[in-house]
Amino acid sequence: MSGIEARALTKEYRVANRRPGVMGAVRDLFDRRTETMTAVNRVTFSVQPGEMVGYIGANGAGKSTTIKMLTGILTPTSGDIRVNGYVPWKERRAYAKTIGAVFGQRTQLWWDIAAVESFRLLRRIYEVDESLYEQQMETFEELLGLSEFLNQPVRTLSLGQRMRCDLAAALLHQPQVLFLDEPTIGLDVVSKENIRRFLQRVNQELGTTVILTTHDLDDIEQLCRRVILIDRGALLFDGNIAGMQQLSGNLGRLRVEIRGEGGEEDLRRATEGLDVRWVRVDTGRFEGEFEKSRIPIAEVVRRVVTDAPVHDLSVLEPPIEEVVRKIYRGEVDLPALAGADE
Amino acid sequence: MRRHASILIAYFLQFVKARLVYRADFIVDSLSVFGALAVQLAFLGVLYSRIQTLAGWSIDELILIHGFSMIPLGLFNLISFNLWNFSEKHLVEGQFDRVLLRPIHPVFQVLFETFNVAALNEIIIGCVLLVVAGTRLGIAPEAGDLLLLPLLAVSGAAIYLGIFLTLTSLSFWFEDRLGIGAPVYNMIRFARYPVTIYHPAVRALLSWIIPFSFAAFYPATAFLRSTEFQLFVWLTPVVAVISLSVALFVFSRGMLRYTSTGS
Amino acid sequence: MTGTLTLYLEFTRITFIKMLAYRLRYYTGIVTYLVFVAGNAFLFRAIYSGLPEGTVIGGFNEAAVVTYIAVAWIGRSLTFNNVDRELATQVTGGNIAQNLLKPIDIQAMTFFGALGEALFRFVLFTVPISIVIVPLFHVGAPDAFSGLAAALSFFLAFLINTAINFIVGTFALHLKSIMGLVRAKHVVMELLTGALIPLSFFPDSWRQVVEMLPFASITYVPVTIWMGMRQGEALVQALLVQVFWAVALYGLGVALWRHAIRRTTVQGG
Repeated sequence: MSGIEARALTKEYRVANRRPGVMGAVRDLFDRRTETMTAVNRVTFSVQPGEMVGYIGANGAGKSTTIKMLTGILTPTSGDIRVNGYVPWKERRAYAKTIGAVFGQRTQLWWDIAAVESFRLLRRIYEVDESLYEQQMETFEELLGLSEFLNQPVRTLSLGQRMRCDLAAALLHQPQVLFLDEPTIGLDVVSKENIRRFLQRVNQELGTTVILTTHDLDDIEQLCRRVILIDRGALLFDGNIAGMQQLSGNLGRLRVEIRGEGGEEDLRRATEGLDVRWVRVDTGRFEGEFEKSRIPIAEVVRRVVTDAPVHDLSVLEPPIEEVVRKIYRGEVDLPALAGADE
Repeated sequence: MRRHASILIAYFLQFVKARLVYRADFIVDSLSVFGALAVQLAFLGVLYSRIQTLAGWSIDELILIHGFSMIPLGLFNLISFNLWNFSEKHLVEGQFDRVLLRPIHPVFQVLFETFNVAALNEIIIGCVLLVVAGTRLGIAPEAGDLLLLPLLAVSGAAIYLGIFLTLTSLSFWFEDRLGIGAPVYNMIRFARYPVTIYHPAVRALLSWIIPFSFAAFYPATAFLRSTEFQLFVWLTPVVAVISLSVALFVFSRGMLRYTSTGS
Repeated sequence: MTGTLTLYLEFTRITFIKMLAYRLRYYTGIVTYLVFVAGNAFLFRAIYSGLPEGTVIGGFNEAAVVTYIAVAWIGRSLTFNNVDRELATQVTGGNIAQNLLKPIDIQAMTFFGALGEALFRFVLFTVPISIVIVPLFHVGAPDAFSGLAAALSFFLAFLINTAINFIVGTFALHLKSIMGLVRAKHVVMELLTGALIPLSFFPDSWRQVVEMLPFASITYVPVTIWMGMRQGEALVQALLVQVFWAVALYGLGVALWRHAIRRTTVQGG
């Protein structure tokens, strides 16, 4: 059985609550107070084999904690996890062979030795046989172009090169599931593009299940059909991107191109009495935002086309950042709270 | 041509420099082993310049005990390098994440990722002292020693490993960056003296609570051909198994409490 | 000027609080001091037990040597610190670069930090372990004058020890890890400071050499002052030697540090 199954997953941390000042520190020495903090709160979801899922949330929302529980690094306080048929924290060693993981901020490779030495070591650790190793290295060479820096110590690699090495290292043993925590953090546009293309191929051609957390919503838009959103430890949304965009359905956006000067005046006059906010994007190009439930799109379009010198007009989907921001602010009702427990 | 030559030289110097960093460390670590030995022998020398026997034990007997005790300690020092900064590197900085992601026992990874090569000196010196002191005492080596020495040395190393791995594992519960290995390590020296000189409380501490005596004095008596502590010699491997088991148990319980870094 | 002093005293305060965070280390520390005094005291009792009643070695009878060991380790609980290791951690961890950018004197910062550690050690190590050790090993009180002189002497011992640790710490700029060096320093210093054995136990030729080294000023000198074994001129002379070593080693530390920093900066990162 493969795939990921998480039920009512919860992680609580005990945080030492230090008393202030010198005397406070002296008292802490003999009697330490702790507080319980819930990082992940009864999160339930499942992922089918071959899916590519974006796991998103603000800083401190509990993304990394979830990933670390799924990979077996952290032990859940309560709840169940099953990945590839294993309970990660219990059957850690057997389980580790079936997954790969890349944590963007920290390399899994040995810092002081050449990257290729790390691969050879990992080959032994994961018991990958020689012929498969050769074949894998060829594939990675083709897709990621590692050979130019394979013989350098890992600490001398650029972030982009290191990330490519880390990805290859995580996939060397052909894991069924790949966990990525911020795989594009700090990378330049070209490197990000390369990494995304590579992940797409891994997912589509090898059928590897991929779970990724990210701050860069372009990653999500380009890679994931499905998104799981958590906030303050709780699951907020689980569904496809289109669904998430519809969630914020109340936001209407219109892009208008105007002939000639002074278009903004015309637009404002045209929509007078309606609550539409116009913003200038470029010379002669404007975007208007309004609440769809109060003002029908058709009404706005009709008025603009009649009263302003419109050259071109299009209705826009709200950008995903905007949707996410709105969800965080609680400005969206979430009817489709899939997997809400009980 | 000149340019390539200069680049080549630069590369070569870089290589030599990189090696030298290691060499300097190796030399300093080796000197520290010799320094420790010199201090111990000087201490014994000063003591025995004033007395003939210490509770009935001669200086050569004490040197033999010291020599033997260096062998298990050297074996332990060879692989224990990562235990000393375990709390700092693995727990506080979160490097333990990487260890947990791999399909190998975490303790194995922590121990065998780095070696302290200078500890080999300790093993060699220990053997030399054992032979020299044995000869001066007129103790003839027996065939059985060739089996007994590795058994007791490995058991002793396992006892040290068990004790310090247990102490290291406590870092999972207490958020101390420093760990408590170093002050306890300094107590090893007391296990090199005949336990008979100590108050029963100290003797019990070194035998049954932090069983350093089973990695030094007790097994060493086997090579002094003393039968007084024979039972303790044979208990040495048993104590080794117990202390390693305790350590692995505590470590695996501690692992469940690992919190990694950040959220 | 007062501003600068307040700034450096802040390092003292921070170190004091920082030390308190090491809870586990603290409890073990207390136990190890007790074990050390007990272990060494038993060793000496065993030594004297084999000798005729009332034997005096190097000016010490059995009771005196046990007092010596007890006071030596109580004093050590105050003067000891890990400046060398902390400096090394800063260097290898790269934090030193940040500190070098700040308009502060690294050495003064280190010393004021060490002062915080000493205060911590005095309140939470020296006092509690004295309460146990003094009655257990029948340590007698010194006369008021010797006690006062010993207090000054222990403070100078703290300065000398910190200066030596600072010097050892500067080697971190040349080594990958100074663990080996620190270990070597510990064992060598234990013998040469007189923490293991009074320096007067050494054979005469050794003793003369060892007493001339700065290490003697860390334990042997203050403890013998405390025990009233140095009076009048000998006392003043011992204190002056301590002052000399404190100043000289501080100066040597400054020079070595500057040299090491210049070397690293020139080599580049």
